[in-house]
Amino acid sequence: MHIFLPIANMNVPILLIFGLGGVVGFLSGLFGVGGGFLLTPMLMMAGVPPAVATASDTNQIVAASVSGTLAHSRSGNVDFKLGMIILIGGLIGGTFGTDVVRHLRTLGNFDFVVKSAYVVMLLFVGIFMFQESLRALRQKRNGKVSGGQNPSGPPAFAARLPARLYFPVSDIECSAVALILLGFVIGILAALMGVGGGFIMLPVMIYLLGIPTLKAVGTSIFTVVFTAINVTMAQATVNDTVDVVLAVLLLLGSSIGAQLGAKISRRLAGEQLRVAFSVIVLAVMVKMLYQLVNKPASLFILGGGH
Amino acid sequence: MRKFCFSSIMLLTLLFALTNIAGAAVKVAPESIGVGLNFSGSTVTVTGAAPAGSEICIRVTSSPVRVPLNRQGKVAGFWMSVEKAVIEGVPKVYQVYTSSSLKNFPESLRQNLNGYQDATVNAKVTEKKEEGERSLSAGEAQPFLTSLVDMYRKKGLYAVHEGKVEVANGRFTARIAVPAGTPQGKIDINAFAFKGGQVIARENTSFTVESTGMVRWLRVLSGTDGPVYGGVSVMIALFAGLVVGMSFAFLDRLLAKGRADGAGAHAH
Repeated sequence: MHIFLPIANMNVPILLIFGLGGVVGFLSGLFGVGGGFLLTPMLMMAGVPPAVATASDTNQIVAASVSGTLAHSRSGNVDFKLGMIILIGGLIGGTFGTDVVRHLRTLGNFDFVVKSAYVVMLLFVGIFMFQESLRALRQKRNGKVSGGQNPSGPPAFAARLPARLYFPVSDIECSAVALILLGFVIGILAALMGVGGGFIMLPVMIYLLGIPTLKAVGTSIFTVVFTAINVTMAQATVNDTVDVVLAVLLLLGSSIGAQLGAKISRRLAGEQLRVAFSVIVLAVMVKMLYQLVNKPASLFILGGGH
Repeated sequence: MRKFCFSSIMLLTLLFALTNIAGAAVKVAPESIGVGLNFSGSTVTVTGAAPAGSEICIRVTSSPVRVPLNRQGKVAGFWMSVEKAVIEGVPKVYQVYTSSSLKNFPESLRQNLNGYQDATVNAKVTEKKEEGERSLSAGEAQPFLTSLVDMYRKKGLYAVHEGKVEVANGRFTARIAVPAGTPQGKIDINAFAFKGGQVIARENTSFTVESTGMVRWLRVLSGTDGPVYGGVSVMIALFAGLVVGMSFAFLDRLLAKGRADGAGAHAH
């Protein structure tokens, strides 16, 4: 059974899109990460134009992150003050990133930039997660308690920046400038790659800013809500690339998948799951890198996004 | 005098044939195709009169569309767009249906269909660069046109169907494919009757392809009011997310209640 995507102007099998959302949602529920950084490349592999894939993926992240924020705020894990400051940078970065997308599309190299950015990001995230989870496995075997605890505080460069503020919920003191810069980078990534930015924000919050893991997860999801709304609005206004039918299909699949994944993850060993997930991330990276260096089947591609 | 008589007879024959086919004009049904959310392609049926002993050829074309096309090249080991062009004057749909093998039709027709030259005869290919635009020569434009035609062919928008027009009792019938990627608007149908290597009759008709329902609403809204469309997209996503989240929370409560009841029953 097929469905016609009004903005992508193509018909796709419902089960394929629902299944892609479901698989990525299942993985995100299983491994505790967003999953947007996997979904966009998968949509591109399924033939959805990159510009539509990135914009529609951001649209579906809105709902997923709202639901996550509500759950985390009930547990007191959202640092609203810290999140709002990151958000200022995120909104500026998201708007700037949308303009970058428009410029790249007029130059005709948007596909290349998105794929290259993905290869680099997936490489770093995959290697980081692989090493971290292997270390955790070794520590577990040696009988040490896996820390998961954060460094004692923000690194030296962040400590030297002005406008330092105290955040009681996270119990850290940090420069507002550093937080705005972090938000700015995340906003650009969200516009360019169709991701919420959680897979970059979390390591930065935990390892660079010294925010406790649970607070970082809750606060990260809170900021992603607004970043994703901003980018969705900007993409719809500037680029006309948000396909809401595609987004809803993905959302239904990923929401159901995430619930099932979260249930199953409770019965499995976390470190082994993270190793498996990092292998998947690296495999997607290799596939995309291969597409960039291998001669394409046709030397001509449609321009202008869709 | 003999030449004049021959010409007059030929003209009368042609007029008779044209009158004959015009007397029973080519018809298409349905005359309108709606593109809704469940649209995955459709068909229309074309019928008309077939002069005795003639071969029928039906040409289906859409209006020309403007298509941006990029040429990929290798730069520093990576494949990326190295040349950007815009193609104009090429229809997005070009299909030909015949009543028998193309061998039974004039050589000129076969040549026109070879590589779909007929579809690209009015094409204009403009190279777009930061410093300006330049019309490409026929030789430079050919790879772009060949590639575009190949893309359309793979999507079923361009096709030649030999022997797919049925002729019986002086009438022809053909089922015309309307693939999912067919552009909105008027689709022209030209029916030709060939006899002795000549066109002895021609009839034209058309049908329309237009989006309906949700597809139409979303397309119009996206094209005319981006901020409102963005707001609607966000609201729909939020609503769908809440529904799924609440459904699972409800299921969890039901399962928890069931387990609690079960545990209570065991305790008793």
